Amino acid sequence: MKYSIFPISLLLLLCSLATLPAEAASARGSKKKKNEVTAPSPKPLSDYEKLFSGKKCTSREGLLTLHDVEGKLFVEMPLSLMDRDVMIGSTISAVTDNRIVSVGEKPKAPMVVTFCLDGKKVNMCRKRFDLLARGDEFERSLVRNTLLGIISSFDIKAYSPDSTAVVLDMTDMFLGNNIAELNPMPASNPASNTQINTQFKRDLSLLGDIKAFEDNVSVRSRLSFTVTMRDNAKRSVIMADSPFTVEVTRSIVLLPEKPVMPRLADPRIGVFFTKKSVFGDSSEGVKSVFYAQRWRLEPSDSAAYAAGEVVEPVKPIVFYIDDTFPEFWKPYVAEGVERWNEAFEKIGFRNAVRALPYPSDDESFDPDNIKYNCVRYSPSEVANSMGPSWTDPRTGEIISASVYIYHNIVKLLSSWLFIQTAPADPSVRTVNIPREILGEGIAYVVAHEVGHCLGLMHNMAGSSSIPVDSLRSASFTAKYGTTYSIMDYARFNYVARESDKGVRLMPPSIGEYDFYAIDWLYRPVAGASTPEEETPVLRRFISERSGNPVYRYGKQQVVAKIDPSSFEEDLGDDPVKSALYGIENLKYIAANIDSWVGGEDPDYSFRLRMKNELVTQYQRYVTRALYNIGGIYLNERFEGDERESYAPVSGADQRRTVNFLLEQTKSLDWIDRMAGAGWPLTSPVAPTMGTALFKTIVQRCGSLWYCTPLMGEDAYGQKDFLKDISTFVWKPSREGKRLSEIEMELQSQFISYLMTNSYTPANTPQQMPPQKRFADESEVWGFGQFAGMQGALPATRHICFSFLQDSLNLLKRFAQSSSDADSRAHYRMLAARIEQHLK
Amino acid sequence: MRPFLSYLLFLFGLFFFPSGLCRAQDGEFISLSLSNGKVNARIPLDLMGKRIYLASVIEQTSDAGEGVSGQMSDNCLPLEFAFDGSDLTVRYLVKPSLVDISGEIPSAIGKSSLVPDWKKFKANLSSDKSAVDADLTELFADHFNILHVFPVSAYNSQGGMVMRKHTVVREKSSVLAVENRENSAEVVSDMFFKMDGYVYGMMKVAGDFSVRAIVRKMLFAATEESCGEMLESVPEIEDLTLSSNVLQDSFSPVLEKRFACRHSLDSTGHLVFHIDVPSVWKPYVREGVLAWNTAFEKAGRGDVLQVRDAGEAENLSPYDSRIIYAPTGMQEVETNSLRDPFSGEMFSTTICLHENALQKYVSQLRFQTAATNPAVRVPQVADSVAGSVLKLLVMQAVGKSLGLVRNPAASSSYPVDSLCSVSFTRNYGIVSSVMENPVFNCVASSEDVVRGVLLVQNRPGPLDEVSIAWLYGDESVRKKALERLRNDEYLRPKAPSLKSGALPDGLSSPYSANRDLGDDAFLSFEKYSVNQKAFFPQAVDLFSGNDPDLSLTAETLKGIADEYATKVVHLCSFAGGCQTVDGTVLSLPASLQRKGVRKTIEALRDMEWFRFPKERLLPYGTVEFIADVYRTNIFNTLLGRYEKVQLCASLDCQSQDSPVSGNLFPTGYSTKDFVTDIYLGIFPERLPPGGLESYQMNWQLAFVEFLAGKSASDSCCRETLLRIRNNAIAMKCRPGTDSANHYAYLRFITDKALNIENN
Repeated sequence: MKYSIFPISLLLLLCSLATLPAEAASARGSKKKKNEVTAPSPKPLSDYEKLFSGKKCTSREGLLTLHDVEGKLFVEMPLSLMDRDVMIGSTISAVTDNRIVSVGEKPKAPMVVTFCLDGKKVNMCRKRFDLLARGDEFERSLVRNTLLGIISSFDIKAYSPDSTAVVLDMTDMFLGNNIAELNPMPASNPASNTQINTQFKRDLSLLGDIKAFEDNVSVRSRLSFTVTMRDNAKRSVIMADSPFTVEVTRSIVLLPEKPVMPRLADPRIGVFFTKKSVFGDSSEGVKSVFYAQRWRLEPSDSAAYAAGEVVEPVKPIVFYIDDTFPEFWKPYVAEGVERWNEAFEKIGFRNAVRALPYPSDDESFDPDNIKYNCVRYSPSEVANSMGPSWTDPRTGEIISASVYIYHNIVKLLSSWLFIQTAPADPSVRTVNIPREILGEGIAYVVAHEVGHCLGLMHNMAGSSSIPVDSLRSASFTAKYGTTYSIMDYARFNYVARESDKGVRLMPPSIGEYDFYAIDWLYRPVAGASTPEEETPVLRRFISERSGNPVYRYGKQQVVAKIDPSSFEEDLGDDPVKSALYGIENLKYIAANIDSWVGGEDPDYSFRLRMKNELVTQYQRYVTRALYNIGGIYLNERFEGDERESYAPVSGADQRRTVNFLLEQTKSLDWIDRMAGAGWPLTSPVAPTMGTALFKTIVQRCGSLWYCTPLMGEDAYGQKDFLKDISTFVWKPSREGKRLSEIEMELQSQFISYLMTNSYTPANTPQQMPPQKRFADESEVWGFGQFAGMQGALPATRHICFSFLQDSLNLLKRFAQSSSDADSRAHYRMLAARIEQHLK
Repeated sequence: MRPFLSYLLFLFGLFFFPSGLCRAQDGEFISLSLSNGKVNARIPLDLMGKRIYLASVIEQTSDAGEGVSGQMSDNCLPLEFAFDGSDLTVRYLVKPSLVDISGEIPSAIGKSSLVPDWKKFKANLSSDKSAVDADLTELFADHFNILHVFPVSAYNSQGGMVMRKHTVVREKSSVLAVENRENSAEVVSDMFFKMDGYVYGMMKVAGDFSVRAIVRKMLFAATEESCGEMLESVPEIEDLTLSSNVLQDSFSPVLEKRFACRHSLDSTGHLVFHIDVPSVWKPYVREGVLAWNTAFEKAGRGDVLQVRDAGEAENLSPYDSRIIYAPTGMQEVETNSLRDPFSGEMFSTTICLHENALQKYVSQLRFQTAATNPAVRVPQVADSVAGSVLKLLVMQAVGKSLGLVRNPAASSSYPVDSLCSVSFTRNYGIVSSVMENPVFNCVASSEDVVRGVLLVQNRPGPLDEVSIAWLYGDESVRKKALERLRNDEYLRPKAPSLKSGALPDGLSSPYSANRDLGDDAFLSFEKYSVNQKAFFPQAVDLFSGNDPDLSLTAETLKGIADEYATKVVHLCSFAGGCQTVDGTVLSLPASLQRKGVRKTIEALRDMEWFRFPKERLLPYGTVEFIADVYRTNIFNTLLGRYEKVQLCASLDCQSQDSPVSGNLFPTGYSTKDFVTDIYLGIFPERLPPGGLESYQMNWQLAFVEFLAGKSASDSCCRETLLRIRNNAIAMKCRPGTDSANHYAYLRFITDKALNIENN
């Protein structure tokens, strides 16, 4: 952006004409004074006039009146705004290097402040919105104990001529770097795993455009830094003390004077929430309540709505589509936004969500103003998208939301489409995925992010109740797509085979669960005037559907992974079955990729990339299945709900999973065969992957301990597990076969595991508090994240010891009976290791 | 003895008050005025060299977690002013490290106890030459960490102790008002702080955290009734004390003497608590305060404690005690008293009732008595039930404000059977002192509860009456109190006093445990566990229909189970425990220690009742693994008693100056006995019909590992390892079974352990 002096000069002229008539008159008068001794003395300038007198000034009138006076920002703040709640948010408008922050991003959550008149100054204060009190006395106590925290204090430079406003010098706030919420620079970038150190350069920072409107103002600042960026993984320096400038637009928006009625969130449905602590409710202490985050959506015609008609909302949720998007993306982006209207129409709102281009005829429009919801495009290497929103901390009402689409999302989509759907869809067997298909992928991504903007969290169980074979059915997928929730990370249909004609390969526009979630979140509850009055209706709404797996909500398991049905990147109700289909499809790709793309990929770069993608996809399949071992399905359950709080994966399924995975460890050669004649030299991955997979399988032994006691007759315990592994690894030896390298390695790994787990040097048992549990309840259910379990170690050592002894006997026998010299040497080596261990 | 003591105290007083205290009626007190944000003070010359105090109270705060509105500073600073014609010096009076009552080394004491200059201000004599004028803004607007405006430490959500350091941001702070009173001069400031928090004083956990507070700082004089006679503490009374090193004569060693901290009641005879709590709490808070009057009446003082509603705009003086409601999630009742660091005289007390303290103890009541008490089997207990808990908390806090300290041995006074008696509990309560950590009557059966047995202590106990008589009675009352204490079997301490801190050398007494009840822990546990076993299987429907999200049900079941674990751990603490017999600290008899080991193992075995069929209707993690966790963790805790047993068995004397009076004698319970008892408890001679349970295998393995770790230094551990090896060889198991594998493994690891040792 250019900072032209011309407009400032022009405005200065206007400003001078407007504000300085007295001065001009006075100046003219002074000439007369030389000759007229008796002339009255000139009227002294008011404090207000002194601020602008003789200086270049640009002014904007609106919610606040802003004056840019030679690079200083004077804000004329009406006294009527004192003590009102105001949201201040930042948006990146331009940037030196988008690896650090991208245009359109809101780098920090906005802050909500209150301006308070305090004698000769105005304090910008921080309120606590996370506390509520019930009852006057508790309220009084809370007020005394939540004195407004002062963030900044501004001296009153002057009163406006009509004394209805005060003038504050807020230059330092907009050109400083002392307020954490206004700092546009992140300390790290998790996506690129980089650490960012910045040093602010005040002398190189200056004020940009100022804008003021009836209900908001915005101030653009050009802030300069020096930046050092380190790659955490490579431990290398990407940039060192590099000059870096960011233009950031700060918007100041008044929060609604009348807060919307909050809706109490429910942990059984995936909705973002705002937490509050309530005092004074009872002798049961401080209670936590959670407000669902949602837009204020009210019918434009209440009577018609109550009569069951579909009506427009008073204020639709409008997303403006970035005008810098590639042209061919734009219709798909708009489609992704407006897909949600189907869900809103089911609850009586027409055109609740709208996608509009940037208006060309509205001067007040600014995509960087927090007032506007935008879908932003970032010309970035980042292969991601996001859908953050900003809420009124009093009520959870969503005030603003944005979708960020980074350019390389197309790379991600192309890879997924090729790796996951090429077997079933010949049209994607190409380096350049057809635009209409890619466009549909873009629409899917946008719809998912808009779902977040509407208040929905991920539902990782969205796809888990669909029978895997139904994913191969044209009629089923036509109706339901591949998942019941677009808020799942259920990608494209990797189960469908080439023979499955007409099967839908993409998630639905909106899933059944999504309809249900929007219904719960946005349908007005007739007659309710408080959140508590709504609650019975809303709880019943969920309870009545608690027996139907379509409406099951599965939390994203960020830290510990317990529930095998609540995973990213999975499909269907049976991870083994879906993995088998998926692997067959990957094999099909591996066998045919040369014929599909050979002509388009002369340097093999696409195929090499797809080989990596294929390995990654394969790992997804086996990892999802892996968590069946010791897996426990977890549900949020309220009293009276049909589904149980938890259920272990059945013993039969666990055994089936173990055997499937063990077979995989020796069945990976096809991946290496993919790089056929003519390909650049690539390292074989099958032996490494097979060994790594085997180690991972064996390590699941510990998790069985949590699961087995919960199982019934068909309990699959650690002993059964080790027996299955033992049978598998010794099978070729029992059959007298010559061992392959991978078979030797697996036997060796098994012996290592048994030795490690069958003897611990003498020590003193770990003392733990008696009540130390497996898990903290707040981390298991409710609104918290599941964070893992810890506790007593099970008695497995004797089991491992027993298998070790059995293994020794077997090895001695094999060393005698094997006809292959290499195998005999291998058996003797393993036997010697065990004997040394047992000595 | 008495005349000598009085003389000693007289001399002691002379030393401590060489310049005399400032008296309100000596003349006009300091007068403050505010001009352009500056605090100008006029200090009468009469006040020069006299002791005054500086304290503060938080009027408003941005974060009640830092300090609550209405909360006094944790301490008060003793100061004196000096004027040299141009400078006004504020001196910070430091308690001398040694008091010489022999009068033989005053010069040395003087040189070693120089009063430090703390602040200096430019000052002028007033026009009438009777006072000094100075700008004292800095004294009030600054923040100095020696005055604890905010509590110095607090517990964070993980239970870690966080030490806080506050730094005032002067440019954001301002003086708002000054106020002159008869006995104090006060300044109200709007103060802005940056707070740094450190866990255990080292690890920074919060940096530059912003706190704003309206703080009233008060310079005040001691009242006329101050300087009552100092009372030397006795070991039998659990009171708050002030210690001083005293040189009696030049040939005697320095003695540490302890003096009781208490209020001076010589003038009005009243202690008034100003109550600023929600209306629904007031009746119970009032009862909690006034309950102490009975104890005072028995000490010959009537109507000592009074309560008054704190007015909306009332500014309380530093002498006014207060009870305030704190809207925080902290689960504590904070009690802090302003007291003279020289004499121990208590000026006033602030009791902060944090909102979640009530919740914590109502939950405790539920966990401990739900098996027998229908009144707590509801999501929201009745006000009267919560009120009884609140009253208990207030009684204990007021007890602290009167100079008593916690007395965890008070719950082991009464016979267990008496706790099931309506008449006994109504007359004597369930503990002999409310200074016991809150415990509820979990011993009484459902029938006892129906008959009206007391579940929540509702009055100060007989031990409290003795303590109050000692602290506030005249000489004859004190004498009788001590006699009663020494002769009454209920009141004689069973556990060493904790008032001087933890017991030396890692000793511990099961009679001073938290949440124990009754004089026979084993009988008490038996009655308690009968109640729990009958109740727990039905507890899944505890709040049927009234707990939609099941969170309270889950929390309560886990709480009940954890309470049970606490009781089992208490049994465990008899191994290697000590007790007090006629003022002498002794190891527990071998029979009791052995019983502790055996009963612990028995209780751990008997945990199958923690499982119940409807567990999948409750949130995952509520009850599924509890028995396994307790069996492992508590068994390891039992093994950890080895060092205590060793200590008790080996120590037979201690130094004279230890706070534990008396000697320890070997009681015949050795580590060999301990190890053998555990061995016999967990290694059956014959294999049970169904083989070993998983937890039994775990115990045996843990025990072997434990023995292997000790075998180098303890021959009995080595012998026991051999015994286990032989047992493993001799055990007849069907080959291929878990038990057979387990015993084979035991043999393997015992061989390993013994070989390691032989090498």
